[in-house]
Amino acid sequence: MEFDFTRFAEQLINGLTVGSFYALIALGYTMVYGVLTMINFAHGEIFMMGAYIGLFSLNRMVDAGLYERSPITAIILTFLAGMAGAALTGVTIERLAYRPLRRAARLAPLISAIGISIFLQEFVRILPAMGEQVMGLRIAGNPIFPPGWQEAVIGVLEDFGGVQVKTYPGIFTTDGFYLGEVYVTYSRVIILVISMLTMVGLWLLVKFSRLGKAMRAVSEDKDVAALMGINVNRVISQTFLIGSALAGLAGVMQGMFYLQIRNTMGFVPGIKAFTAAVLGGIGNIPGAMLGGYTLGLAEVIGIQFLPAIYKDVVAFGLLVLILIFKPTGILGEALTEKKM
Amino acid sequence: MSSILESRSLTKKFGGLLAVNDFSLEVPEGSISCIIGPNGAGKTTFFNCVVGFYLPEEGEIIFNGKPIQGMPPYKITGLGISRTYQNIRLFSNMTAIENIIVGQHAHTKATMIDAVLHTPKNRKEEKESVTEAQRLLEFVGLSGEGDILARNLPYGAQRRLEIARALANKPKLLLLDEPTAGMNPYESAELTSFIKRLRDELGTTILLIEHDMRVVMKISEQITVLDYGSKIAEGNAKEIQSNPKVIEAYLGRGAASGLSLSRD
Repeated sequence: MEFDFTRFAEQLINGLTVGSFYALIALGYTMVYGVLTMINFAHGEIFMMGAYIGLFSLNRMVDAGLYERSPITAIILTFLAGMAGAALTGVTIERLAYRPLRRAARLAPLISAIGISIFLQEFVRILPAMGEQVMGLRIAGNPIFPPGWQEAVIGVLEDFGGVQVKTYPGIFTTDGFYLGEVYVTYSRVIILVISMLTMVGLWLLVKFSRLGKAMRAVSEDKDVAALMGINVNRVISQTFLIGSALAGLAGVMQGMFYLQIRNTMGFVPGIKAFTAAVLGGIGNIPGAMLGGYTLGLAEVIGIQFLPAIYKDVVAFGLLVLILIFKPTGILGEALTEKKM
Repeated sequence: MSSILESRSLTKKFGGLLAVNDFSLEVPEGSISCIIGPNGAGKTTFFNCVVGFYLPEEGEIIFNGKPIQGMPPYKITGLGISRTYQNIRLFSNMTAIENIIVGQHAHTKATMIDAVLHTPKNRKEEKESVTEAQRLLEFVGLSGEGDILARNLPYGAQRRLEIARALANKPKLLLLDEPTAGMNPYESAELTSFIKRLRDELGTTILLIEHDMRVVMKISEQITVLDYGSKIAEGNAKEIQSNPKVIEAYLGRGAASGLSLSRD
């Protein structure tokens, strides 16, 4: 096979796009690990919820004609809705499924996370059916809800979730520009720019803000952080809020870029992003960013030499190698005794 | 003198073990008071009750006229109690100045929104907290070392940084848990005069746990002796040194007749 530079460059740009998704999702894993030393395996589903809530909001704006009149406003609102929805999901999960298990054995919240992950997938899938059941409830043969409601409620729920694949309207076109011989679509540039700006913002927040310092304090030592006057539970909630909003952002971008979303869409990116977080050094925020892009690029470089179907083999092979040779990740430091 | 901290018949149990047993204590405002006692006497457990880590089974803890037992630690800190640890517990991956700024948390207000919008109010607060942190670094003799990671500072400097971090909370009461542990006689003498300076210059009430009797006898205005969770003696340095019960607790029965605790 002859080496095709143009194709390789295109693949590299593709790798950066995919890497952006991995990095944004990986940040949530790593931030939560930082404050709780726990892997939030429901994080991929938070990403999925972001995509669904974003699409639902976008559809409402299309219905209302806002998308026609001012697409930019509609798109920004879609992003905000997806991020807010994902953030709310994340914070609720922490409050209901993880906080009660804070003092339990470390396996307990992990199992709880897997449970939540399955719950969210199924919740989205059977939501319309569930609505139908509830609306059809009868007491002594009489329907509880007026017959008119049933159709409306099911209609809304079907618009939100369900068994079928949902499709985002084609927002990004295939327009682009030539960089030398390489064709770059604007959509990829937009994804890269949004992701990078968000990540720089996050880094500044964690490094310099009062909340960021409180987060770092909580991740080092919760008891002492409390003695500094830090409300540890609140900081943990805020960590979930930020991490989940980033996943929501990635979810909406995924929908806009790849168009199709489904209830199981969070699984593979979730595991890949987890890989990216481990690759960069779990608990380390710049590490998650670096890990995301490294993984994205490794995949596309890998399939230059292997059939494309081996993409996942490359990603997870890399995970195995990292775990064997540098278990703390690229930027990770040796775990302190306390955290082990 | 009124008392700033008062413990009334405090009891803390771990299973069947009475770690603190019917312990009453009054710490006069503006004093330097000391709790001494053999290992496992319940001194650190008492500190943990005061800052809210442990919920005592019985009794009351009154700070500034208000009962505080059962309050979460971050709220107790907000009322003006700070502590340091026997084994230093700094945020080791943060710089010295960041440690102090985290210590100011109860007094700063910026929210996530302020930080994202970078409001003038937020900028002003950040500036003030850096200035204040630098002043504290200077106060503990660490000026110019603010950007060093806490874990890279020498041991004595880490001790002083931990105290500076505790002071960042502007405490009315400062609890020091064995501040001179692991220090040589020269260092601990230096720290002793530093603790005195804290009280004299800032007016902070200081309650410390200490094993080094030279330190204890030199600076304490009130000494309380704990053994097996109970108070066995209280008084000034002279009274404690000649108390047979104290000598017995430290050295065993029979020693009380021939030895004294004074080591200078």
